[in-house]
Amino acid sequence: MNKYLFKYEKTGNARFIGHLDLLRAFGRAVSRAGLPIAYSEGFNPHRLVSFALPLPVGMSGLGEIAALRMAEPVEPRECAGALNACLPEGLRVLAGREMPREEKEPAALVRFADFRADFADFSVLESVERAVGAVLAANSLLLERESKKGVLSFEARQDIYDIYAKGSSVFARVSQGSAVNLRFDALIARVCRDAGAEPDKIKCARLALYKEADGGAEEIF
Amino acid sequence: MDYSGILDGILGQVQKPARYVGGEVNIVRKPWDAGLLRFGIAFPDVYEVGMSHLGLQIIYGLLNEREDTLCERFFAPWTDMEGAMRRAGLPLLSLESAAPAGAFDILGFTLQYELGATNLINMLDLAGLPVFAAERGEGAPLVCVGGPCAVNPEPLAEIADFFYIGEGEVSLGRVIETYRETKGRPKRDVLRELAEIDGIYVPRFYDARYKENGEIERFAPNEPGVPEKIKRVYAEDLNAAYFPERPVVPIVEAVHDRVSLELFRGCIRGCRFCQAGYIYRPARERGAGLLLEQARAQLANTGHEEVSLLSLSTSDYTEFERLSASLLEFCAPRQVSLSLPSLRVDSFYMELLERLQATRKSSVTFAPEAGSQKLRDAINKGITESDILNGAKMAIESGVTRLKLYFMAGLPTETDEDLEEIAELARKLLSASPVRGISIGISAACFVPKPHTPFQWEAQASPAEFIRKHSLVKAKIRDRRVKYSYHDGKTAEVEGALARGDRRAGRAIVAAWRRGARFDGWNDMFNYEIWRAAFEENGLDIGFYAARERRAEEILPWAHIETGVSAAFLSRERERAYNRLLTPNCREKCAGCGIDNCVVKKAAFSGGQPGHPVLTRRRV
Repeated sequence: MNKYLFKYEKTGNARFIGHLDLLRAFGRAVSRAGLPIAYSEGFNPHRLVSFALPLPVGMSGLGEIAALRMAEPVEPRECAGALNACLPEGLRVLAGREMPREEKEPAALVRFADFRADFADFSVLESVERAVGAVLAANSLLLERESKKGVLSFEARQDIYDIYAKGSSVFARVSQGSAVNLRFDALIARVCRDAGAEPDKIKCARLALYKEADGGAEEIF
Repeated sequence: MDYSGILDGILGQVQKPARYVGGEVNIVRKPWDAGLLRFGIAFPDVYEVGMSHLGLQIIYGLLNEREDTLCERFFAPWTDMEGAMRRAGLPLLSLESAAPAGAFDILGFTLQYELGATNLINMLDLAGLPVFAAERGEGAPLVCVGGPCAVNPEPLAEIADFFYIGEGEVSLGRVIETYRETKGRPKRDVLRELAEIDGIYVPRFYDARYKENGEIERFAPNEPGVPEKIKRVYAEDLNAAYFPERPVVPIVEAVHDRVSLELFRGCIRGCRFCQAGYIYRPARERGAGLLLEQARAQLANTGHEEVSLLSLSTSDYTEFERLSASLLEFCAPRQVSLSLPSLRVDSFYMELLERLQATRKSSVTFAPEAGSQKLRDAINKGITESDILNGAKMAIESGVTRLKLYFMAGLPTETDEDLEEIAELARKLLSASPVRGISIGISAACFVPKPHTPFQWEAQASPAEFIRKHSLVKAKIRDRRVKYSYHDGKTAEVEGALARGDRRAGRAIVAAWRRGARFDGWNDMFNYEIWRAAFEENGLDIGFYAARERRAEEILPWAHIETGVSAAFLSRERERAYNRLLTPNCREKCAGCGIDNCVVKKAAFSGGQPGHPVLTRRRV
């Protein structure tokens, strides 16, 4: 099948690249690297590059996953090196591995993700810690998100598996994927509101993507 | 000062933030403090538009190849970003080093469209610079304006320090060297030295005096020794000209996001309405072998998925068959698609269409420009009704179901009957169609007379006249298979006023900018009321610049700019338009336009065949 998974990070200025632009940037890097990428059939063939899950624009990704289908077998470690010589600034492949035939597409596997929010304003840390504790202790948590019809509120508590403050950061494991996708920025906005912190000054990162395994979470890559 | 923290803080508030961060593949970053000349190349529109422009990539690559220069890019921030920048006190920053525009030695703007002028001014203001050259101090960067609009520099004469008239490859090197040699001397002295370079126009060394009726009475240097006339410069040999083999790869999808091959500059056709057909003379080709090499190198260095051929009339390229065949051979196995704009529809074209596997064209575009043969002859379009009908028939037989037709309203000598023939042509196309189910889209632009063309003296139709003209055509179209759309005559009026404006018109541009005009070339952003008020406020009449026919003896505001095409020739061509006489293309017979050492005249071009409909894939 010649399918390979690559774990990559999207940091710095690359955080601002949107999903479709990222797809194009990755595809072009593959071509510049001279990798034997496979193409789709049809009138407008495109490179078979896909991502596990879009990352919100502006957020860093430290353990993102791309799936590449090649026209012939390749050595994934060499590919990673070749790609890194060709990717735009802020995108870096960390590791690559072959995808076994029976493994599902990463996009179909993602159920959870770990996130981190870094607070630059240390004066709010104590109240942030309290707000985080309150989230964990609550049975219900209504979050808000903006939609075309205005601000919608939704129940999010069952999609937060863990949340804790450590140092100047908040860590959380929440539902992610095509079925249920909890917006981490909405969760952090709520924590900020409760803690009296300013959400604009916080930097968020998605750390790792997980699938469901034996009732628990297991890293996809 | 490091602005990246502030920038980072506001990027979360704006659309498409990647427009503002740089970091693309093939950018060049050089040490900021190594004593290099700092050149900012500025494009007065958003990133996606600017990054589509080959000229910008050429200048960027050309200057960065020099060891004594660093060149970084600036684009116009969209209105949301402008607001965020102003609130945060963030100046206009370069994409490479996030360095403020005010810290550069030279800011070089390329102005592709008259209505980009307010963005240019806005970028100067965002840089923290006074918009008028006279108010910028000794430490401020020199502001240069180039691009096609510089062939009438006068509306921006009080804003720019100097203009670059012509093609960047020729004199930019000397500009850099002269600047380096004179650095540290008073700005006036630096500009005086720059004025010695071919193609450089320093407006402060010239004065205009006006008559009571508003016409120019006298235009002359106020500084001894500067040239009375400024000659446009052009690269004589495109095979020797610099070409960027590692263009910057846009990170936000550009309007034209692909490898561009410049087949030639200039055009042999001489359509009388077309400014590009005159200001880029003579037509100069680049060899097919070199183009293939450039395509290979660019594809390898960018990873682009498409190659596009760039020219004013692709079919006129001498080695077109060889080039397209070799390109297809190279591109097809690499999953790279080939796009061929500005082609004549003929049997070779149809054959090519079939071979382009990726092309399932459902529509073909023709640009007859005028509805009647009489008017097409007047504008020297050189195609006949049967060319159009045959071309359309061939296209339809190959499976095309939609025809797009481009016209202009308001052309010189146009009558209502000429306009009505637009509808008639659509009717003929439908009745001549070999199959049913064909639809036709007609798009009519408003003709704007441009400097340095045979129609530079002509009156431009007023917005009200344009409405009448468009309504006339619309009323004649009864078939539901034909859709008619047209451009706005108000935008055309302002475009016309700026295109043929004089030095005083610049005040109106600044006033319009102060009143909030931005991105005037974008339909939904253009605000006519602002422009009316801006002209009025300065005691100027838009109609004086746009609508008025110029007397033949009048000193035109751009008379001191010499493109190489003589005024006598333009005047002759205007006369021929009135007599509906066709002027043969440059390869068939030299029309004596005045270009010195013309390569078309010298080289025995193998003749293209005139008289085929021109097929264009119009840019968005």
